[in-house]
Amino acid sequence: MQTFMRLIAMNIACSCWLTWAVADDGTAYFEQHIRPVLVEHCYECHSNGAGKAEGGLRLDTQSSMLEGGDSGPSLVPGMPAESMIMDALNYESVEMPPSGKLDAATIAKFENWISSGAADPRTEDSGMPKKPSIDWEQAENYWAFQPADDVRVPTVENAWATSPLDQFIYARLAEEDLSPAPEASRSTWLRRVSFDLIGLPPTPQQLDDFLSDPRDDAYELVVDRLLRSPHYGERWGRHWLDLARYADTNGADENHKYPESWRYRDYVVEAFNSDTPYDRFIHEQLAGDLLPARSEAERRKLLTATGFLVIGPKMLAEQDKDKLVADIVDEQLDTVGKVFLGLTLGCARCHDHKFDPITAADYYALAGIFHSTQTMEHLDHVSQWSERVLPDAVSAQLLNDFEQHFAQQQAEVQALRIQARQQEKLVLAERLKSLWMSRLAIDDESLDSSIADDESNVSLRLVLDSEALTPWVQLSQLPESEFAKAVEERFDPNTNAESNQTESATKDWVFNVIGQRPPETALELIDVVVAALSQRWLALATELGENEKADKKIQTAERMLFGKDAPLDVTREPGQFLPSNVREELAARVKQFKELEKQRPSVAKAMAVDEAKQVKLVAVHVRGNHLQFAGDPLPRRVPKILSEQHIGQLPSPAFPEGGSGRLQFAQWLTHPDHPLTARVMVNRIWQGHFGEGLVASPSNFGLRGDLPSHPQLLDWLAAEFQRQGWSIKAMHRMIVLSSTYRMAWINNPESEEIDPENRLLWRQNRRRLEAEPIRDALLAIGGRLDHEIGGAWEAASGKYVDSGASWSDLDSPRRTLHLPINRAALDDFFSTFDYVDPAASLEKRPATIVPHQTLFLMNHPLSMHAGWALAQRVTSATQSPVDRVRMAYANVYGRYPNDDEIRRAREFIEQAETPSLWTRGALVNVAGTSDNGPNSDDKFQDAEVDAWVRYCRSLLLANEFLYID
Amino acid sequence: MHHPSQTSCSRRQVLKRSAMGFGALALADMLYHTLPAARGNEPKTHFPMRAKRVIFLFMHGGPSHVDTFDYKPLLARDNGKPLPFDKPRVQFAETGNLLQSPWKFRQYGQSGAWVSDLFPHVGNCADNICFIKSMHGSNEAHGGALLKMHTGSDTFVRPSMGAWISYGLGNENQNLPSFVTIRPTMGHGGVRNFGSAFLPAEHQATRIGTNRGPMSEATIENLKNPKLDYRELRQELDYAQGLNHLQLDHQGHDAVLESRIQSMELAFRMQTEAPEIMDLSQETTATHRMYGIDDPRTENFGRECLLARRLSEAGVRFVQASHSYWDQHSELKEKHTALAAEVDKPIAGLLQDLKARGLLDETLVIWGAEFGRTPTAQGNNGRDHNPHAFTYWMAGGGVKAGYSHGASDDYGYYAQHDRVHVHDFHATLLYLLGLDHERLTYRYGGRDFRLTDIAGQVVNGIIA
Repeated sequence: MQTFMRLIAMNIACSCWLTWAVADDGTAYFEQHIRPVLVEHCYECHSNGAGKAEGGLRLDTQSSMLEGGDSGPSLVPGMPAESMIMDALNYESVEMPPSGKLDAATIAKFENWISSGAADPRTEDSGMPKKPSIDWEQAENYWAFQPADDVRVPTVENAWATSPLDQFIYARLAEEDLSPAPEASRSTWLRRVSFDLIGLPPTPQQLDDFLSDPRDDAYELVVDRLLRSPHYGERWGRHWLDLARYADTNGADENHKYPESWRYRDYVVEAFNSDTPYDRFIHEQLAGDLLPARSEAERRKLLTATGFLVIGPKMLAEQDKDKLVADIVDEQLDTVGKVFLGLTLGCARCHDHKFDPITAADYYALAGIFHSTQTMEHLDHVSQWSERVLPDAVSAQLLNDFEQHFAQQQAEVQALRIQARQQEKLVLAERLKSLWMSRLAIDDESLDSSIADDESNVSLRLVLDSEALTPWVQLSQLPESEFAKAVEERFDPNTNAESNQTESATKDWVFNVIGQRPPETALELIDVVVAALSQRWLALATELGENEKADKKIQTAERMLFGKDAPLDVTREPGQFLPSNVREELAARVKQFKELEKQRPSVAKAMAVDEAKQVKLVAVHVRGNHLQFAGDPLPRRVPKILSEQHIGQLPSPAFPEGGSGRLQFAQWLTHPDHPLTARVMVNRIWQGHFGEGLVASPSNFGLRGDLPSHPQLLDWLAAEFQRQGWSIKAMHRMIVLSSTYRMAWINNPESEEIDPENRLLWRQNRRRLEAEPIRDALLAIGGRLDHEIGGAWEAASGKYVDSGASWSDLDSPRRTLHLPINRAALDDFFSTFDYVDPAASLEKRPATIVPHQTLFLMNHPLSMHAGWALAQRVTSATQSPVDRVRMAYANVYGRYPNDDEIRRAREFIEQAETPSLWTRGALVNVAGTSDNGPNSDDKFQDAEVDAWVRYCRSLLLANEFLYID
Repeated sequence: MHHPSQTSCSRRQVLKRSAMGFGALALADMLYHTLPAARGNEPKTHFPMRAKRVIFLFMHGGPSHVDTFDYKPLLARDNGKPLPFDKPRVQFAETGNLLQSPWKFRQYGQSGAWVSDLFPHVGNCADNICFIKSMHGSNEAHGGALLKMHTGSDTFVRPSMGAWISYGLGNENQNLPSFVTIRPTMGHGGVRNFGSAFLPAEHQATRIGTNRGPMSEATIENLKNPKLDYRELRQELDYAQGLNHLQLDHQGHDAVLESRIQSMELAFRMQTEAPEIMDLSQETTATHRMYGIDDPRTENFGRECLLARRLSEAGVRFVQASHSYWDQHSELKEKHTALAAEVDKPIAGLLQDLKARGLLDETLVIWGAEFGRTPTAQGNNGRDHNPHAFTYWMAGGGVKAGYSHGASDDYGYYAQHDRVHVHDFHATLLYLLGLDHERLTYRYGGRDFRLTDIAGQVVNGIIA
């Protein structure tokens, strides 16, 4: 409507002005009214003279203005309503100039000028580079957009290279005159591969078994054991959860709990444990709800998998719901782009991608898929994400039976309630009336409004400061002479401003009652109000019938009398006015009913998407603004650079008219000739074993990403991955058994000179453990690790998490994977060890070095306990100091100490100052653990054990514990 | 990466510097120890540093600007009348007609600044204060607005401003973190409001308590060992360091392990130094009184302010002290009265104290919230959220004293003259610290990021 009016206004302006314009080509108008404004307010940021083109926009020549900036043309001659500059000047989209809106007259002149054709004499070319446009030919040749080559494995004459991947590595090393580091010791490899595959240190038993295993396939057997372990899914599931920005609360603005998030986590763990082929894994997470299911169990699994799309953070309290939806789609698209394609698609939300050949049109064409997907249950305040019931015939039958029984009970109790209530209301009304009569009988001038009924221990009080009565009390305090007049004024609807915004039905009603007979004194005022109230009450009590709930009028009256802001305050227990036998019977039935309610069989739900009711296509949003569109809604399609047009052998999907097209998109992702999907995933697997991927920017294979260190190896691995049926476990097996993986970390200055970052892998990388294996190892060393897998997180923590509160349950014995991830109040432990923000897809954990890490290992109860418990085990197992040291080393470092280390240990034990404060037992216990050290002096007086405790603590502090070689 | 001072220690950077070896790092460590005071490491900046440190007093919930520092006589005149222009397209809640401020305003000092009776003590400091009355943001809900104010984005995960400042300027005191937040809220974005996002983790804030517990019990996690004293801890640490050196001797030098050896020493020093700084009992009774710590009403925030001063004095770059919860959709009169009484005296005490110690010139004190409140009434004693106009004030390092910048409209609904967007505020904050918001960038995921994203203009008008 507004636009329509503006168009009319414009046409009028247009027709008037055209006659004037004939005399001139319009440039005079431009020179007089437009140019000065542009110079004064715009050139500073949008001109060659200033050397700036903010938003890609220059306003200092006609052509640059017509061409526009990142968001498109800034003006359309003759059409102010289509001209972005008008929106900007009117502060309707972007607000320009930022220093303050121009006055209306100036803005009108711009409108005139554009209407009349936007004459503009400024033709000089400034020589500034034009807005860069995508060079499609060049883009097509970029390695990541070309299907993987059919690579020939290089022939290498060297015994070291035992597998094809070693041959690639060796060939490249040889080119640089580098040679591979020697093989790591068995214990080093075992600790490395154990942490890599299951996230736990090897037990001393496993260490001994492997060290003494004479079989040729000892290494293979270890790998088989680890890949069979259910803990494998916990470790690699966690890697995936990083990518999937998994969390157990929403974070963002309203940190609501995700009660069902754990189902998605368990799904991921199980998917890895069962080695779900990666292509299938993608289909399930993007479109599980659209895949056929052979059983209910499979349907449940497939629905749960789509939690991937729901689990991101959302601004649930955003009032602009269009923005909320646009942001959710963006979050999904950005995540999908990074995770599966290794492309930063999100960059194209506001403009064509600055570096990659991804246009804003590509982005919005893809966005149609997610706009046509239902991610939210509703968009009310506060909005709610989608959860879907997981089908289960047995539970459904149980529930059905229950509901029938429940409904019957409910009806009975309700009938009893209504009956009792009606009875009570009558009693109460009578009581009130008689009380009031006796109140009137006392000729008391004071304003005390309380009336008490000793008999029933009930106090009835007029609430003088309630919203309804306050104005009247204020009036009552006026001098007698002014009172009547003031009351009159109050009731004149013409002058009474306040009645325009009455707050409640109560207030309305009180005004109404009093208005019929305006009181003349304060006491009279109270009398009138209370008399009216008791009258109303009686009426209410008799009106109460079977339709109690349905009758809105009665509900209002109820609220009025009992509600929060009621003018009458009745202190009473429910049922207080009933005869005791009636009251007790009712109470018993209600209690019984409430117990029954608690027994309702639960219906399992999962965070999951559904198809939207309608397919919704979207147009390009100008500068990402969800209120401003350029052109028509775009049909869904994949980005141009990945389309058939550029990659002949990769057919572009045909999106269905009646559905979101998620399944077609997912299937396109996993087409054998897709240039990105397999490469991106094998690179992630590689990163999990070497600390760095072959492409060091694992979620960005675009032009600003890193080039692959071994492009041919990457392609070979991608092809091999598909040949192995997209089996992730097969990739692990091949990698961890390779000579490359089995190299030691060594110090080699010459090699370091040539390849300081070890991109060519002349040695294995030394890696710091992530937060989860650090904590899990501490639990394992402390001997209290709970090996149970999966389950709801309340069960894991035993606590309900207050959405706003800080939360910590580090002392739980559960593996760290199962600790709730509270986005808004993430435990300090996680961020200390570089798991900083679960709100966005995380491609790689950094490994910073901050003092809080040492403080944690030195002082936190968890590490306190680990050191203490290990010392207990070591000292009770043997009297031999040498064996004690060996045992401690096996537990903490997964190896046995050399003579020098044993000698040093013995020195420490002998010299350690004991007993320490700890042994002296004076201070507090280690919180949250049951066997938490010295509770009393007699339990822990042994100064020798004390020395071992402090020795074990020192081992945990040293670097070797935190790093894997 | 355009980064004026080299402080971070990512693996890659360490590797690039690995030629230095252990000796150089050890030398650097010795240098820290020989500094007479902990403070004094001047970073290389883009511009001259007008302020070295920031203390941000954050009023969570959104105090009403028209009831505190943005005096609107017309609001009183037109009380009860409808707002004479349109309300914004998106509102948090429905509001009614104009509601006059329940508080009187009076002028203070030579500058004649109008301050309401909610802030008499701060009013007395008006000649040191630079008001910005034309702030505006873009999000009308707490969470979004908090994130916008703290990170510059209510859409994406971004580092907080304190993290950016830590990244840009580094530590002034090597024994303390460069960014500390005192009693923050854990809701409305929670840790993201003081997180480092993709910046190295060392730039995230060290948190002292949360808004749930009393300040007297707030502390840094894991700072104190529950069972062992410093001497005993030192003994364990020495042994562990011995093992670290043994590993280096055995396997050859490794810059990463060497960095961790340093970091362990820093942890130990922090463990001894931080409790001392956090021990407010070292201050005189007069100082306690100045901050209102002797009065139960002002004790909590008084402690926050005094600790903020001590941390800042010791060289922490960015200290945020938070106070909750100014969200008066109703009970405006009662609750704003109570909340202002909790902070007014401590804030004034902080300003006076900094001035008396000669620190105000190099410390930038900022007061503000996620948004202001509507001049129109919610109910008859409340106001709704208003991101379209609100007031911030600054005092100290580099800003004009006794000055007022910008204006909202006649009623305080929209910022009108010399508007200052949250991005502009961030740009100006960085400028005062000597940092160019367009050049303080970090390369992540293939692109350079900055606190002000693609916006922000330095507000030259407030710079002294």
